[in-house]
Amino acid sequence: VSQFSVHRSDDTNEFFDATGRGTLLIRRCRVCESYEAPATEVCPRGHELDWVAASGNARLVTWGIRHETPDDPVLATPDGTSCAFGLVELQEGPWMQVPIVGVDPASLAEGAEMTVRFLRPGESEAIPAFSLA
Amino acid sequence: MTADPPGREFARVLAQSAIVGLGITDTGKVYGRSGTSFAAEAARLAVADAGLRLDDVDGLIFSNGVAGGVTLRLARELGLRDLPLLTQMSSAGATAVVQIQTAAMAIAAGRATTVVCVHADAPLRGPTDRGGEIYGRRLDPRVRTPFESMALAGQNRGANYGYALAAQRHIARFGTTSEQLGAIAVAQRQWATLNPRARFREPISIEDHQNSRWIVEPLHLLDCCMVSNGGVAVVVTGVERAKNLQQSPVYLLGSGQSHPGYSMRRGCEFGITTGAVRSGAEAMGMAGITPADVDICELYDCYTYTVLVTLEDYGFCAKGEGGAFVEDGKLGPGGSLPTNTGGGQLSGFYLWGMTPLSEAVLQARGDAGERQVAKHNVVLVSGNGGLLDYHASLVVSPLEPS
Repeated sequence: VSQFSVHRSDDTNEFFDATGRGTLLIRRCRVCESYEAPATEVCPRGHELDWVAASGNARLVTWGIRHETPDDPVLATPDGTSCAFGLVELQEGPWMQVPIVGVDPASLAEGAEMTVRFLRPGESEAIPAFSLA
Repeated sequence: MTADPPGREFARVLAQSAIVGLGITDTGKVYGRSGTSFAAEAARLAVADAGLRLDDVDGLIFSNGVAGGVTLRLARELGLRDLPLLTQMSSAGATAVVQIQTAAMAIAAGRATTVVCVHADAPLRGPTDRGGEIYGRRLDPRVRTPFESMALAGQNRGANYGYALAAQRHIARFGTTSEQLGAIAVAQRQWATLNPRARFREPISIEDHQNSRWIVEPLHLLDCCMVSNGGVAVVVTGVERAKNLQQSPVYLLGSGQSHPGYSMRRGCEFGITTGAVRSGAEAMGMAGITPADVDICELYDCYTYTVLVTLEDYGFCAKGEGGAFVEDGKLGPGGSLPTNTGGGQLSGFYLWGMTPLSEAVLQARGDAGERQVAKHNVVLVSGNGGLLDYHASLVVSPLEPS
């Protein structure tokens, strides 16, 4: 089992049902109507949040490269030698720190258009990762 | 409403205290001792350095590193009784400066007369312990939440990864190069060759920096601090008492804190600007100085990048020009802006905010030996913690504020 295996809990059923269908859910405040990253529990003003589908489009804010054979092959760069990760800015505004897959790290650039896809590390729920659009 | 400029009142508070004692234990790979043992030794050394006795101490503000273990029982360990001020403080890497601010406030408010501020840590249990792992995120898979597991897949797993993201954003935005970051590591190593306490004293070149292994690209090994065991303490007391003690006083000219609270959403400046902007302006404003007046910088250097972004945010150069600013070696011995003159946490020892603060005390007093900088009237100290989340600044001087 991968150290990255993700196992759902009661309060994340809706999120992982959606990733399993290829949809990224994020949070939206019932009162402020602001969008928040999936792991956010309440909005900054303390209001309750709903789940809503994100567009899945994002721009790359910044990234890093771990130059070690990845702990899980689904996280590897195309040449298999390392893994890339980054902060992406969802079209809706929140940032997420995510795996970057299917991309030669040399082609990454600030502001690059990214799109969501889904991985299953180990015997895991599907989790979001991003690739160049 | 007062007509005073912002910070004037706090400058008056700071002006009532001075740093009068410094204690540094053996640091680095010193095994088999607890954080409390290091903290107690550092406190005793600092009190002796001041020419005081533990009976003179009526305040104790202690801070733990990553390993924890220093507890309120430290007071009893030191035989301190009936203290009117005893607390643990934590602002991560900014703690040391915050401890000094808090000690000065307590003294100005008449709540204590002589306060020991101490930080200690003992995360290294033996030669096989590695710093990167100690500061990595080690969440037990059995207790991880699903989103914590998801974050780990995105390599959200500790300081090296977070600072790599910060540095890469600066690199992408401004064209900062790895060699320019390397210039900071090289300059600090030059200082470390002159510091008997420094862990790494062999000179390094830019080529060595470039050839050192990746920790997390864009950070090479030589961009990263070490992890140390050890303890550092300082004694803060009222200025009148300070003038009659063993060491010449180190005065507090100005100090600020700013903790940016990054939104991590559209518009967020993570990696580009830090709390140093507000904190530095506050501290230098109180001291009535600009960066041009600073003789020596002692800047928190968990990574080379942290030094670079702090220099920009303090106004030593324009935003984005930090790489060009440092690449001529001006931070090293003989350079125009001596910075991290003991080798810092990259080459000297890693005891969070106490590393820059302790070197500032030595330089301000003129006690820095072979590495003493000739002009040392204005020394600027920074503390930084979290992933650039916490920042504090302090201006110290051997000259009493007017």
